[in-house]
Amino acid sequence: MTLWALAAQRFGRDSVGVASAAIVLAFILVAMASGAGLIARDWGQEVGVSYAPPGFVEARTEQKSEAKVPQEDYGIPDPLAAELAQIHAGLAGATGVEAKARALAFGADKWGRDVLKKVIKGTETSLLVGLAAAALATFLGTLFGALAGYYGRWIDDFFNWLYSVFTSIPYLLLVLAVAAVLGQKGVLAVILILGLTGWTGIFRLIRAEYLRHRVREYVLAADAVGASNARRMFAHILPNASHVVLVQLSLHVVLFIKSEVILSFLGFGVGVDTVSWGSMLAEAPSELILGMWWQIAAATAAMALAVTAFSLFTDSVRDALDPRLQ
Amino acid sequence: MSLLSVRDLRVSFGAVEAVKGITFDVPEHSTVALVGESGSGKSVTALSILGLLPKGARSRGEILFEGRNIPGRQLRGAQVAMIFQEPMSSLNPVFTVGFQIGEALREHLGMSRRAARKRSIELLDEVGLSNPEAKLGRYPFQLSGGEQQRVMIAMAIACEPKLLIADEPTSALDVTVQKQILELIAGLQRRRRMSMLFITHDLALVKQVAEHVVVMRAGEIREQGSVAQVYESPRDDYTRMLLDARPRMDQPARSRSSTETILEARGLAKSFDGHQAVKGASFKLARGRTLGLVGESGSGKTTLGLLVTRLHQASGGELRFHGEDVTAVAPLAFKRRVQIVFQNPYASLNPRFSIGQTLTEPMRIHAIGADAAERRSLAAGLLAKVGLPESALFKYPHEFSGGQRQRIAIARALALQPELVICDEAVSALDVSIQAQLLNLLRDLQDEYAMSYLFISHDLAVVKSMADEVMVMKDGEIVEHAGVEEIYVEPKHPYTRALLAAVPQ
Repeated sequence: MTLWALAAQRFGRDSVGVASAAIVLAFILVAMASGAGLIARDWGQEVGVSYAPPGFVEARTEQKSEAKVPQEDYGIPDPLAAELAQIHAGLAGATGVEAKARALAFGADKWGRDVLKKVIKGTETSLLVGLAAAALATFLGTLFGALAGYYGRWIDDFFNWLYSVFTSIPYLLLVLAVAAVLGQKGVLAVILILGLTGWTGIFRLIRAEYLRHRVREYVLAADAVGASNARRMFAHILPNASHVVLVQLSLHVVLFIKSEVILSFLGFGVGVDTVSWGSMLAEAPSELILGMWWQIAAATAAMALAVTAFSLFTDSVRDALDPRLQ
Repeated sequence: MSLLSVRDLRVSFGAVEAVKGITFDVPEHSTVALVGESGSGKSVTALSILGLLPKGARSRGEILFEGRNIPGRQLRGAQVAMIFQEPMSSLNPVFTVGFQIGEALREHLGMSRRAARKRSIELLDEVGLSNPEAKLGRYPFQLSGGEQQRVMIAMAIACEPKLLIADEPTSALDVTVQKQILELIAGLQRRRRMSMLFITHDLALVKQVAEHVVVMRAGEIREQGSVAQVYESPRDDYTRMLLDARPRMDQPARSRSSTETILEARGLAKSFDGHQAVKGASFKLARGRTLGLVGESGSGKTTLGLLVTRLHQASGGELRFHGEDVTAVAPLAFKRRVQIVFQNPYASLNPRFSIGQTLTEPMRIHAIGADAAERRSLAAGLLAKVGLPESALFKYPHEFSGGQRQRIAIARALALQPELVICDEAVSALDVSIQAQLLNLLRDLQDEYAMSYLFISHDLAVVKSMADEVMVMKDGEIVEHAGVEEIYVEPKHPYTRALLAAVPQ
């Protein structure tokens, strides 16, 4: 049985891990369905009235009726009354049908868009950013760490210098600087910003793994049978450091989901035509003053659930992959 | 009355029973040796006497100390003390030697700081450390392995225990140091009238220290009795096998003659950051013959082995293979003809590769075999050569024992049909019975393929059973090089003589 199969067996015995894996999987499926246009495709439709409350609180909130066209103004008759009446009569058949829902299952935002659909669409964006940025950062960190740890000498010095430069700049400042240099907003920009700045921690760990493994006898033995440097690095050592890579990947997904929220909140995140958990939270401060809590509640709940499930999942993966078993 | 009685002791970890009902006694003022190979349950027995078993272990049966059943926790330190195998990991690296000995004295005997210091100096003096006052201020890493073990012994006898448990106290040490430590322990035991439970895998050591011997295997006692009786007329098959498995110093050496030199080193040298690990080694190796390389840890013998395989680049000197300078030969072509087997079978196989992958990798790199199917059948043939079934191809290293893994490592080296194989302590990590099988295997393979071996070992008896010629290395220099009969019968260099004198007979 391979070590992977043994790890899967250990993971299967961990009920918290399995439960969190199910939640993570559900999130990913929702994001994929949304990305494929199966659900929440029409999230941008203004289906409800502005700030329509969630259905379950509708009973308590009396909807104020739309202001009627004033008929009288301090006794002065409206000179346009006749024309307006005609226009109203003309519109009655057509646009009047566009009756907006007074309440939605989870409420609506300022423009009357369905919060539930926004959360689903936001899940797609946030997970995409988290996964893609984590994949990019892990790829860079692993590649740099492998080169530095395996070859040592000036290659190691160079990557350590790069690492020091990146880590000596305060994180948010660095992120904002990269955002300013890229000069464009959007999902791709956010992925690049997070991926290009977030590889440092992974680099440090992978480098340490390579330093440890390159002098191991199985690597020397591979050298003795003539395996090339690339083969020793990636076919021999990498699978033995892969538990670190996987755990770091998973940890960074969580980190980058949170970072995307911060970036979007600060206005460096996704554009106005896209919705993410971060952009939903960015709209929240002005809404909360008006007592419209449902948007922040929905975005926070989705994010908290996803992040917690991912973190627990990561912990279980780490336990299952524990390489103490030789 | 015996000092310690173990009655029907059983220890289990979950469903696995590590010790299956053993009964033995340690009389007063005497030494009992507990002998067994790895997994025999000898260390677990020692730990259960001291109540140091890990969580999750269940033990039953009686352990009586001076006829009374006392919990291990109350015995530790004052009544019973223990010395462990690895002195480096038994001492705390961030505290000085003086602090660590003093701590035991202050804790157990309530001594003042000053009294503890004075006593520490006496103890270090008693265990034979030179300049004990200066040693008190040293950290463990500033001491040699032998000195560290002496400090551990000083700590163990600090509280004047009645019983000393020594768990493989010399296995991690060089043979000359081992001899000194054994003499020290035996002397202390006599002088202080302690009893000792001496745990070892090495039957040859037992004769030197113990009066009684208990042979364990797989959690059971196979035989016990006086040393003379067990050595002269062993009743148990397993004991007999253990006694026979060990290569003897008095056996005749193998001798084959060959004149064709395949490898020649001239003034081969290697330095790391100014430290000279190998200082100008020169030797010749003939086809089909074995050159033994003997030395203690740090002598540079492994570095020399790596230089010969070109896994390390020499910083000086010349290496000729079939008369040709190896730096002029393409590395890949050279690697095909010179292979290496490492010491640690747990580290030398990639844990993520199946055995099939491990064995076919060298063939793929060197384009041996036309396709995957042919390479697989070649790999199966190699496994058969080293005595493993074909089904092993689909298994992973963790599914094999140490001896089996070493067979796989040998099969990998054979995959390229090399002319020269470097065996770097290739059997040192294995139990004696497994060791004997592998030495036989190596000899048979040598005869079959007419390979040459550079056989590196710290174990003089093993080298004698394998080599035609022997080189002795010390501090990076080859101090003596002679035929095997000559070097064991008439050693010329004083260091060789010291090494030979230290081997337990």
